[in-house]
Amino acid sequence: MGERLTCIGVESTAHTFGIGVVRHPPFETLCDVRRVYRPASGGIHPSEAAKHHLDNAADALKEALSKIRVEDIDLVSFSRGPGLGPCLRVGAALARMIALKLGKPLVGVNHAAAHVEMGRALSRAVNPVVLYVSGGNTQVIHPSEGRYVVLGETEDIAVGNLIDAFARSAGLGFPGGPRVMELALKSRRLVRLPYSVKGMNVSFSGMLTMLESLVRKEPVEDLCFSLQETAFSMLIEVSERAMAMLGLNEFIIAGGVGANSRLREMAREMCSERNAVFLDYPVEYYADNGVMIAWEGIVQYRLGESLRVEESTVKPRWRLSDVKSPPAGLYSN
Amino acid sequence: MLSLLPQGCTRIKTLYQGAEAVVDLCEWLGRLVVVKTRVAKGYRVRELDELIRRSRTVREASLLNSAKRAGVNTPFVYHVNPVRGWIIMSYVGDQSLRSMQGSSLFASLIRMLGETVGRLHSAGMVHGDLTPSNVLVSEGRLILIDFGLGEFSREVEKEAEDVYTLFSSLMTLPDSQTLMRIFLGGYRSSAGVFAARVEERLREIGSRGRYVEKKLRRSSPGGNGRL
Repeated sequence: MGERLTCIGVESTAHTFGIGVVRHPPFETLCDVRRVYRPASGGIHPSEAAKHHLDNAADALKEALSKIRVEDIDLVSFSRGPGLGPCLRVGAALARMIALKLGKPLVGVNHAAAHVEMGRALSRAVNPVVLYVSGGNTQVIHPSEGRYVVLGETEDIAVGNLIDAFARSAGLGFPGGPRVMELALKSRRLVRLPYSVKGMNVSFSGMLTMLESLVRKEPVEDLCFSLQETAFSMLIEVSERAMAMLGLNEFIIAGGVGANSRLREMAREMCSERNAVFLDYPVEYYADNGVMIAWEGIVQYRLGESLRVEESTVKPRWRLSDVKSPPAGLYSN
Repeated sequence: MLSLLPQGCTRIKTLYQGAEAVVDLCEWLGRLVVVKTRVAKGYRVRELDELIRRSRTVREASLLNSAKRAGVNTPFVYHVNPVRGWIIMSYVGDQSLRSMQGSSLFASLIRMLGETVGRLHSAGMVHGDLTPSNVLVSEGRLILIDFGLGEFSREVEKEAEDVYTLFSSLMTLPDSQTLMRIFLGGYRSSAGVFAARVEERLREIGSRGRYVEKKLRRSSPGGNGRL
């Protein structure tokens, strides 16, 4: 497991600018600062989000450093990708500055891997199938020996994108998730929507088109309910198929859409029917945060990863399948 | 978990338990049959669950029948209950093509499979999960089973995916390249003029993802080239 390490991590892939500090072993969160960009209208505008991050960076760092001792920091990590280029560059610049100033190693981490590893650490799952669902990603993943195997994914838009885009056309604002979840509770009427599962892949673009065409024709509560029931059933179905195929009995969810309690309820139900376990963890860690970046920094550093500042360019299209995964034993504190 | 069986069915053993369906070997009206049951999923709201199970059961039964009409051997469908999600079909043995790997007959069976899949595609159907475990061998004939992910389609993409899925599972065998050539020989003989389009798409599928990555890397070394 190695020596005790403290890492400060900077997250800035999309709407959240976050700074987190993690110490391990044992796993301990020392600070978790978040500043979330909320667009005045529409969805995320990359350069406006980047400006938001830039405006908040100094203040967020000040708050983080007020909660820890600077001398304790052994490592600096940042979200290197995948994400929005202008946003990623803000976090990367801050992380480089801290690393140079303190003379500590710099680690560029994969945002998706950070979600997965945060979920594994908090849930204590040993060998799980992971459903990674957020505004920009929808994947069914198995962290296998040394690498991440993407078993299934969306063939077009991410499920979070489906929710946000629908919410926008229905005038519910951004981000759409919380409002859609709230309104869905007020309905039990299912409107038929395209249910598109192909093996272990899913597709949501047809559902979005249909929802947009129904926006002013059907009650919005019914549409929210139907969207959640249909889209989440598809996700749980492909996750179950992956578990059956690999013969695994642990399931976790990672990413912002995991904050939806209906999705987690369905996950629990699916697992109990097949004598598997759904391993949940505190809901605030499903969303983007700096803590997971700090933790993934420790994980990757122990696997031998670090970057020289000159080679620390961001990678907006970094695929999870190109990242090394750690052995399961890393989490036994 | 044991599934509920149709009346008059006696379970002999469970052959397969997947995420979506349970397949039981049963005795029914004095003969050996296979009962495939699409089980209810508690996580889905009932209305949606019934809709999905009903449409998939009907589609699978319909594919089994249509494939037979196109000259592709499949189990006989004796009975369908879309509400309960049951298909009762003839038992055609349990020797899969996978279990024949290494046998001297394997190459000729692969050629035969190529002809079979070519006929299926020509008739406007795709299997959706074409692996050696889903092909049974009985009395020198090949029988395709499990059309659960199949559909009626003439899209070249889906036809190529069928072949791609099969090739992926052949990849682990030592003579995989030869086997793929043999398969395509059989496929061409029955798919006719469409075979060339499918083969072209097949090459494209194989290069997907990698090509894009390579192109990005060439134009901008080290990520996107900006700090």
